[in-house]
Amino acid sequence: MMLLPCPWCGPRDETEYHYGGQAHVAYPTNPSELTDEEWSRFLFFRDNPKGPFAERWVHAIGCRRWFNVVRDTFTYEVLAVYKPSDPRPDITTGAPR
Amino acid sequence: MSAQTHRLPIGGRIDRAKQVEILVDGHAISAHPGDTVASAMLANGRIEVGNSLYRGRPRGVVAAGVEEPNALLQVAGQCSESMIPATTLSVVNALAVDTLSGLGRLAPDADEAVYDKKYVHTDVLVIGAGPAGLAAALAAARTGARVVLLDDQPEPGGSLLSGSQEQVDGAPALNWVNSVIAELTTGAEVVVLPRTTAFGSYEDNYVLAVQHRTDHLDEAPAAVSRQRLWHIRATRVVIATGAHERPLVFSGNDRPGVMLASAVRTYLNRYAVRAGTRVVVATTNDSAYDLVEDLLGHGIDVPVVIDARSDVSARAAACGAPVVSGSVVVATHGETRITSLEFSGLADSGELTGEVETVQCDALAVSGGWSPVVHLHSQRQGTIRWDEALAAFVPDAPVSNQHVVGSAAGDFDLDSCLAAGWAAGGSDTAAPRGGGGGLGTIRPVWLVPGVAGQPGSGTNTSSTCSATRRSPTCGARRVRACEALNTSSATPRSAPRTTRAKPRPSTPSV
Repeated sequence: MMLLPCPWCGPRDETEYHYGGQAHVAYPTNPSELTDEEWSRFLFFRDNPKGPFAERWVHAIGCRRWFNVVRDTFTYEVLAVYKPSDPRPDITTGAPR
Repeated sequence: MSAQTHRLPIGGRIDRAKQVEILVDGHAISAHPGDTVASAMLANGRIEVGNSLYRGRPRGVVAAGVEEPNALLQVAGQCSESMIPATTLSVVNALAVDTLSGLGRLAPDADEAVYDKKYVHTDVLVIGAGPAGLAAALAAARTGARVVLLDDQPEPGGSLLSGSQEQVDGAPALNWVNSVIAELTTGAEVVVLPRTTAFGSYEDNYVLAVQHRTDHLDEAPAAVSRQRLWHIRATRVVIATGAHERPLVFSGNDRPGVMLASAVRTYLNRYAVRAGTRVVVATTNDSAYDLVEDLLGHGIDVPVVIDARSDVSARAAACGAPVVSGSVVVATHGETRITSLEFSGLADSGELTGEVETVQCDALAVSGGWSPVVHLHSQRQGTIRWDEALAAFVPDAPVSNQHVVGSAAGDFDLDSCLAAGWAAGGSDTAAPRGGGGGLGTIRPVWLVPGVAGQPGSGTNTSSTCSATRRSPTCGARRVRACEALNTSSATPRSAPRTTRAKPRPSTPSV
């Protein structure tokens, strides 16, 4: 079970959180002008990298606040934790394996 | 009740002052507290257990730990469980068990026992209380760290419990074990959990372990759960899980009386039980010579030591028993239990050479090398690599915040096990010094050709698969085995001496 550090509460077990999917998926500025394909891509298409991945988590049974995590999807290592208002840290490589 | 005919008059870590009686397949046998069901059976001269599942071939106790493949038990009583290795079940008064032929039965009754769980956080989790694990736990405790030490055995010591001559800091190793445990148990920040098996290792050093708390007691206290599941979150994990000895693959290697050399030594030194009165030892490395010396020290006849290596190592030359080098066991005989065996020279090409000789014996101790127990390391995506010198898979790069030490890391010398454990514990002081252990050079023998000339003739056909599968990185050796198969099947030497109808559909148990 992963140990995720909540920016407000500190490290807690994974079971205290809910997953929120990929972070930094911006809402389209003018959704009415999108084609069906562009709209479906915004709704359903997400990155699936092997390595660092920025994703959203909510401390559901703790402070109930959202935050972002950069996590290596191969090693499950948490590489960075930051608030949703902050930009994504420039992390492109995970721990050497 | 049968007498303990195979119990040595002295020694062992059993409580001779007390006697318990257990029922195995309806027959009462006597034992002492400290015995396992397997050691009690062997002490009473019974090595045979349930027959093999498909072919009904007789089977006997092979090992002395969790790696036991044959001696599987159905435990009667309120908490009826099946497929429990007899080598892991401590005796208690009026314990009733039945041996199984590889298939258990689920108990129809509801289990009324209480099971609980506990969540703990620790700085250092040490898995395995052998020499490396104890050194790691002690070193970590002295730095003031919070330490949890797990071990599946009733008492700490690991391989040292089975030893005799091993020394730490110039004194018998078990003295050192006792002093370490005394220091650990007085530490406020140390938890020592015997009878506890770590079975799961997950992200961020989250380890699950099950502790058996009441099965070994005559009367289970009302307020104590039968088993406790430990959820442990550790900053660092030290994996000191040891290694399992590998058997040798030859015709008739499943006959009762063929045992692992380390198991024979464990029964001898830890349980004061002799597996036989005339024990042949077959080995591919130096570790079995500890057993040879112990057998001779207890006055047990060792007619010959069959060493696969062509050179006689210094360890072999000093063991005190006749050593035949460059040879392997090719067949065993006996109605049920082994009564004699045949051995022959083994050329570098993997084919038999020279005359086949016969020797009488009532037990055969085999050592085919050692395989580190890397399961917990692998569960965390830890990679392993093939070590040509050890002929085994060993952990490669460690997982972050984990250490693999001791023979789990392919280190079989007691001194370097202690040093590695001590360093993993985080101490920069001088580590305790050990004397003992070591494998020397190893000649891996994956498959012994049958006397008929065919590797895997008769009973060994299914062994061929498992033996070649064991060395996936050794292409050359596989090719050699296949060549031997082809040439020998073209020109059979003689009629098969062991006539067994068909290959068994299952892989051999050992």
